[in-house]
Amino acid sequence: MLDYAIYRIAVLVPTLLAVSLAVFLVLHLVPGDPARNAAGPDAEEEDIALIREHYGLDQPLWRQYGTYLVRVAQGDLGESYRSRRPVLDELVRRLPATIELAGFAMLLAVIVGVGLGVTASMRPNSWVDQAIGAVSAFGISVPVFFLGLLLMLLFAAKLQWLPPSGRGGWANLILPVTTLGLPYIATFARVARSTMLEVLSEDYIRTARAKGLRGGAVIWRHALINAAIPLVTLLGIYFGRLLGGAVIVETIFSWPGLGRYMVDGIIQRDLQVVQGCILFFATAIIAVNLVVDLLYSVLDPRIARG
Amino acid sequence: MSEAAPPVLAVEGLRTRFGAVRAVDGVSFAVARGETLCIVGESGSGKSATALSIMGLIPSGAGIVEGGSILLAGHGELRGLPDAAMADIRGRAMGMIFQEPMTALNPVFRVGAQIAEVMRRHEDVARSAARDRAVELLRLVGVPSPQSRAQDFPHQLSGGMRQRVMIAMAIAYDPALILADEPTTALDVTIQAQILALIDGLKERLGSGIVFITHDLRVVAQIAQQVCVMYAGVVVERAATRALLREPLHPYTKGLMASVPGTRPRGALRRLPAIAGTVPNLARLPVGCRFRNRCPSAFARCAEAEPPLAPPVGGDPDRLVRCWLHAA
Repeated sequence: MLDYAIYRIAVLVPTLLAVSLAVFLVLHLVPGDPARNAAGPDAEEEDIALIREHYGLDQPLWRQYGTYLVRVAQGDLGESYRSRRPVLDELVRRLPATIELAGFAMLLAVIVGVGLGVTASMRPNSWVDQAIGAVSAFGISVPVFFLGLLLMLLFAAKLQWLPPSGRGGWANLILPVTTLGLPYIATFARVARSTMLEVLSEDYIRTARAKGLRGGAVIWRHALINAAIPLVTLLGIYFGRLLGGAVIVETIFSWPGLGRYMVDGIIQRDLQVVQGCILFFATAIIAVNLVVDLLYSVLDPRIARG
Repeated sequence: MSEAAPPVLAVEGLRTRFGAVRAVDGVSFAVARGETLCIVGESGSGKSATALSIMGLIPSGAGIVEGGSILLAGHGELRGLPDAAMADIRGRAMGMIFQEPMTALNPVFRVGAQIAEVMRRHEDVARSAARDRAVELLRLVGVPSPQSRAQDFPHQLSGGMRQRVMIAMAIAYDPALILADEPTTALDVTIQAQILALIDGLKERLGSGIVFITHDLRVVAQIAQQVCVMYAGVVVERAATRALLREPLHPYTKGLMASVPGTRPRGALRRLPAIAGTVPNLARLPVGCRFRNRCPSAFARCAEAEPPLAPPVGGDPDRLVRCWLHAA
């Protein structure tokens, strides 16, 4: 188990290198001159040249990448061309807002989604199951930006029950978390339903009932743990998508998180900001998937100590 | 069955249906304390459905026990009991051992905990006390170094050991009735013999009545006092083991016995006879005897009506057979 964890962490290094290279190349090969952008539309050629030199943009690409890597390894993600503030500081400052949003959305998706899925699996093809199926279909098919605007229109503009945007108390959380979480509630409900149906037909479920266990113990103890592995996999996969969704949701609801920071960076062609954000998101996704892989062996003893 | 011992289980006219399929179509038998009754038949004959009906484990969406009576000593009529009441009886007054020890244990829990769960369910015991009793049960069913085996996950045990774990679970409360559904079929021959001896020994020690489902007549000869031969959802022959093996009456029973290797006289190598054809579609049974399409002795009357399960004319009054050859 420990060997496996160490191995997996060691493998992270080349993965992260590849990610950083890909991000670096994509951003440096897209058309447009970052120095000219940073200087602004009315800048003199001299100023632009100065900026280019200051940020090392006049160096060959491989040398720029080398410098970049060394700096990243030292925890320096560069500074914003606009605000002149270190990107890492900005990331750290905005991180809590995004963790709050994505964390609650994930929590909502897992608890409500799995709850609905398990409920649906207990009486397959009943009206309850079909109602849950219909809600899931809606949740999966409605685009996040549309859902966000719809909810905002209804609950903030029309009914005025909830604040339309910004970060603050619990009330501010409800709309963005719901918007971000709903598609994942639907996905988790579907996968939970189908895995539970599969697990409930297993022999060991019949054994559990033959021991006299009641329905609740059979479902929540014997079945759900076995159904948890595909669900945990899903958690890893959808974490990345959730961060992508967070970018949109943060923009719609003016949520001061990483997603909006990145979108602002993209709009302003602030190379260092975009680069830093993407690298950060990639690292987060890889880290979550590592945790998920290690969780398998905790959930399923057959995988452990292999 | 001796007259003195009241039956631990008396099944009368049991009928279980899965949609249009009448899997169990009027099955009756009784088992006394300390007695083993074997139910024999091919796949699809309704053996397992009979056992699951008794346990109340027919999946509610798929099938329904629609008729008959299941009397369990000390508990009375089981048919029609709500599932909560059945759950109190299962694992306590009756235990079941399943065919596939590989899949019948939950892969994510340690086997000791899975056994202890029976005690934790049926009485208010501390976790440690339940665990100690689980180890004791493992010792009782012949698992070596039970203390450390209890800490194993199912996949770390051999098939025979897993089946012993299943048995330990089933006998946690010295149940009056043990149902065993082909418990040795998935095992190696040598392990089979050990498990059979174990179950037979438990019957002596616990005094339970055992319903043992098998398709193997050699197993019947080893452990059963009584045999029910099932075919297409009905009992076609019921008798004391010795009488049945000495002189099978129903053509189906004869066919089963002929297809067992080593039950025929020694001699030149010969092809094992098999019963031609397969079990009929239980949703659309033929008129008359269910076996007549495969029966070597079928005659006109077999197509007219289904024969009753009755003592053979002029034969042993203690046995029953469902065949026009032996009916009045």
